[in-house]
Amino acid sequence: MIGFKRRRAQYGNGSRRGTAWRFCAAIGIVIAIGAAKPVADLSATEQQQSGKPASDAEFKTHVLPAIEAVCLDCHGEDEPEAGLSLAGFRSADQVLASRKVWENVYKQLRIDGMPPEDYEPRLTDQQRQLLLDWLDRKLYQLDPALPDDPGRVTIHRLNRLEYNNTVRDLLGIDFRPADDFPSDDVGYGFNNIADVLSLPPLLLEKYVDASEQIAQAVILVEPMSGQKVRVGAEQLGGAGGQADVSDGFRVLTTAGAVFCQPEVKVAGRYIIRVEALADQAGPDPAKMEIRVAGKSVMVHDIQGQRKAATYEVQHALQAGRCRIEAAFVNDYYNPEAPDPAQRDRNLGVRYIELQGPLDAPEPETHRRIVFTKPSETKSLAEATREIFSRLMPRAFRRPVLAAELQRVADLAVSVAEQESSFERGIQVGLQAVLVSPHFLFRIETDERPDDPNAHHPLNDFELASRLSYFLWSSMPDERLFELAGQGVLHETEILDQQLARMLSDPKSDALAENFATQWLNVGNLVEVQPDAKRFPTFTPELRMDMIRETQLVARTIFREDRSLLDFLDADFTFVNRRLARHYGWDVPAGDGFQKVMLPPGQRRGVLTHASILTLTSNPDRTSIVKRGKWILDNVLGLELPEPPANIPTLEEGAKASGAKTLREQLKMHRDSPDCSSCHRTLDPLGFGLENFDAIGRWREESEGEPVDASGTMPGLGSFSGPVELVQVLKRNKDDFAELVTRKMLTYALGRGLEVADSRAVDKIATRLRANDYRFSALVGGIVHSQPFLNRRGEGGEKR
Amino acid sequence: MTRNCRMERRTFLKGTGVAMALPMLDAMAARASGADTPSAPVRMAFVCFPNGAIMPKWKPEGDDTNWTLSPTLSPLQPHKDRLTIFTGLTQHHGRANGDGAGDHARSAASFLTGAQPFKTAGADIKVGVSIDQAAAQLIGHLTKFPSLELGIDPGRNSGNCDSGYSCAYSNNISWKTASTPMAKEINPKLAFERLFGTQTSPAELAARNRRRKSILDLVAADATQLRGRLGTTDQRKLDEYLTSVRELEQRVSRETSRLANMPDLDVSVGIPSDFDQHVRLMYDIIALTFQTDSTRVCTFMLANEGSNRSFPSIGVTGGHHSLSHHQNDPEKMEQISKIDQHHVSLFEYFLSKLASIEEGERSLLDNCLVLYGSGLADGNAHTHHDLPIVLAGSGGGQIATGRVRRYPKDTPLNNLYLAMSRIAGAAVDSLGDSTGPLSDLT
Repeated sequence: MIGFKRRRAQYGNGSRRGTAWRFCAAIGIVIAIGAAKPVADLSATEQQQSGKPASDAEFKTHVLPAIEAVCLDCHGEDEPEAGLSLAGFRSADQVLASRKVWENVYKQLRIDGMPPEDYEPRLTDQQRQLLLDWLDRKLYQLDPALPDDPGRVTIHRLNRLEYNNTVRDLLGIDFRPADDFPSDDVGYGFNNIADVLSLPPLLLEKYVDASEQIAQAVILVEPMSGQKVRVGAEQLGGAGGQADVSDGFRVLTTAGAVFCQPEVKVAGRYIIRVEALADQAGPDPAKMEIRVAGKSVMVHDIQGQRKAATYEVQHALQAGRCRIEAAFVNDYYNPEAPDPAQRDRNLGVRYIELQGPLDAPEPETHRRIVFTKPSETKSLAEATREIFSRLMPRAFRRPVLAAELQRVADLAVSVAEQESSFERGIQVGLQAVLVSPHFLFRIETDERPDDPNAHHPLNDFELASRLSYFLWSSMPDERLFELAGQGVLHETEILDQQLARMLSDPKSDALAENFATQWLNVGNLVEVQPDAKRFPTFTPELRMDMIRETQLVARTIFREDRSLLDFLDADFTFVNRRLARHYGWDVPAGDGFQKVMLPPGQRRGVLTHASILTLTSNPDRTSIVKRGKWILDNVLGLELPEPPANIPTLEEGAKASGAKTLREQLKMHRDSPDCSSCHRTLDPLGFGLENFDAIGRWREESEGEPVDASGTMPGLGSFSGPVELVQVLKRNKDDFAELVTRKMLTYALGRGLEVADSRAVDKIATRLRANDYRFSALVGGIVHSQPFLNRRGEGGEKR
Repeated sequence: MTRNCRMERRTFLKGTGVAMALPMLDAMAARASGADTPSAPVRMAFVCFPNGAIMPKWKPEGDDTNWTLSPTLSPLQPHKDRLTIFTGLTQHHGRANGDGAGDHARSAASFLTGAQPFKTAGADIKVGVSIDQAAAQLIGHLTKFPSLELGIDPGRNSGNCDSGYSCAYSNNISWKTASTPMAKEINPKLAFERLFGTQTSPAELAARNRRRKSILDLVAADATQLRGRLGTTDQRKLDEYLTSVRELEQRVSRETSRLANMPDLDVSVGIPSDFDQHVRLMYDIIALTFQTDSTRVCTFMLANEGSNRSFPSIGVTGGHHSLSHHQNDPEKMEQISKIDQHHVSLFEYFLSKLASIEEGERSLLDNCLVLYGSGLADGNAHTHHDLPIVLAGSGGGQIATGRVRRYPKDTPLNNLYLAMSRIAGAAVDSLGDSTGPLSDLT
């Protein structure tokens, strides 16, 4: 396990484990002084203190003297370095009141960044341990006497994806209006964070526009008119008659026909509609014959001189491919005619359109909503009410009040009367539902919304929404609504059953596509632009393939309920032909993605996916620092202290001495005391991946030198090459478990985590570890957790 | 054969200037109703580029009216007499001021607000109202759209944008309230359709607006009722919703007619993959929007702050942000200067377009105040003082142009904004750390 504390950015957990402290001491050996020092056996001291609230007495005995002796010279009252003053702190409470300052102190101590390497006096190991321990308990441990605090989520707008999915599941159409909405702003790494999702005027307009398009797509105002298929001039075939295209019309100058052969899906009556015009000449009007399967169905007289009009005929058609022709049957050509305009008769066809079947039933999406109509026995108002009483509870994801139903029904009725169309009324009512805050937001209510002590469980409908948006990124289904209606959804057994059912539903792939890709930042690949000259094989298609590879691996891990550690060292991946070629592997048969076992020695897990390797590179070369940072953020969960305010420039001498390898340039990071504390953590990780170029291909050489992919992670060990790096990182699996727990809990709740959540995180992470790090254990732990099932009013500790 | 197509959007002469006079409906109506404004209205635009600039190549030589354009700004030569180049202006609240790293997020968040963004990854996002929105509150009701927000980059999908600041800060420069960023439209086709609509008959339009008004009434009532049951933070979210509903309601009530002739612009491609083409299309749209007086206040982000875009068309294959941390390497600085100048040449396209549109005795450019700049000066050191700021246009002849104006260090940039808003007839009294409008621009 790494010697650093687990990520504290969102406030750590409260439990102690002895191994953590032994490795903190190990850092002392490897990094701080460079000289070998005996490992201080601190387990006795540590066990004494752990679990107890950090006391004022300890502050005065252990913390203050150390600070005074070592820190105050630079960080005192007068012109403190980096503006950070540690003077004037006399009590434990004052520390808490200046939380940010002391969090910074904690982060520096943790990576042994302060005091700087060349400074005397230094902290002894024991002093450092005691400081770290006390600060950890003070800043991050919950007072065990305090009751559980479930936290609260701000009223939660559907994000773009959730909107699309909800519309799909509510109405059955797969028409994705939210693709045109402005991007969702991101918070805590995810795009489903309630506090960050806002509702500016532009977005509301889009909601209104979308509701119109959706309502018109779902509910046909003239339901009997069927579908239209139009074949335009360019696509019409020509049979004789020199049918050239001119100005959008297929022109027949002599006898001949234009035709199309649409596929008739359902037998029935159809309208065959042709838009045509003619050059008139001679005594008769131009005539256009409509033929179906070679047989004449109708002969139209085309009126007017070059006056386009539509000509229709109804006809019964069989299912299958059907040849429809528009033929010019009375060509006339008299070059001798005195009036030039009377010499040549021609026919022009702009399109042939098929509409029907005329007696078809309405599409299913229409009937689902409009399942009843006004009739002799049912008034307009009654039919309207019935429709919305079925629709609205599903749209609002809860039972609706009579007044709510009435408002929408009244609107629909008034529109229906104004526009003399029952269906039009339903459309407008549906629009109002889709723009209502009850649809656009997931609403959870508190009896005492401003009382932070008013903890209470969610009601079953609120719980159903949390479950479905967590696991499916969409609305609850019928079964969930049913159980919520019975008031049993929150019962442990039922919850477990539903969880299992939901995870086996393909809709749960949303977790792979949304949670995993956001956690791994893989979606950001769309922003990256590798240099086209250096990397000509990087195309937009390859980019999407890369993203897909990572998504499919995530999906497999989730679907097969594997250990989450497989993200680190899965021995399989998914490639299609293009990606296989990119990696230099045998190309699989077939077009789509296939699972392949990784050839040994080069790649394991997502760290060696082209997606992440490209994401963490610059357009023209790899970036050690970016790759190191990615691993710190998403695998190790280690938050570094702030970089210095002015990153000092590299010495002129370094550049003057000519081209240096990347490693040599970065060595300067380590040589400068200002830089080394962070970079000795970042750089080795990045070096471990140097065998992969800026678009993730394997290489043995870089900048003319063989790649040196070796490094040492303090507290974890040494490695050479990516496979060993992955094994070394895996040793940190307990912290990894906590990291994934935090990430997924953030995603599931839609809010950042607070100190108060540390108990829940602990419980979940413990359960995860105890179950072989399996995916279902994590999801189950989250769903049963306090913050997931409960909430409270506002107020309480502000950030 | 004759053509008999319905009115469809035809392909337009790409980028050669909008050479027709479109009727300015709302403004004409206002004037016809006896409003006392004999001249064309002043329009304000704020165009923002990321990552600062190479300042030694940006700043002009000379002073007052006796000056030459710097290398980076040299593409603006055709419009030199319409420019005002500023030095010394500062956004103090883009600096850390105790908050540590995050200069890119702060740069964007403070650029038009002058406020210090609250450092958070999500909860309690808070900065300040931006100058464009403050002005829109005063004059927005005079035009069909109170304001227009455009951009090129979509928001980031996931992950962190800058050192513990939510991505909302680096992706937006326009803020309606301290916690509501104004989302930007990045799709030229959608922007165009939103502004100029699709062709509908007046009867259809009236029917549609009637329906919309009823729907908006209903949902506003829903939201008001709901609001009463919620806690304070939730109420603020509902307030965003209600404000947006009300604005749309107002627009729907005012919309009685469409433009007789749809402006010609080929937006069929949607979002172009070529950056230059995308930017020019957006500039075209702003020009059309101003020309038709559809709005008088506009913001345009050329990229999200911290953008790492590369510019292969000018031979820059490194990423913008990475290069901007040049650490005084002359090669990297040269690359950044190329990017700087390229952005300026695209800006020149915009100014030429505005200049080609006649409005009585002046050009549209004359009647505008277009601010072009960045919330960072030195991208390597992340400085927020002596920012790169250029103003084009004279606000209807109200300011003297063709000048360099040098201000003492740390003069708030917001003072310029106050002056601009005053000239545009939307005088904002204070913004961020402003100390009063710059008084010597006329």
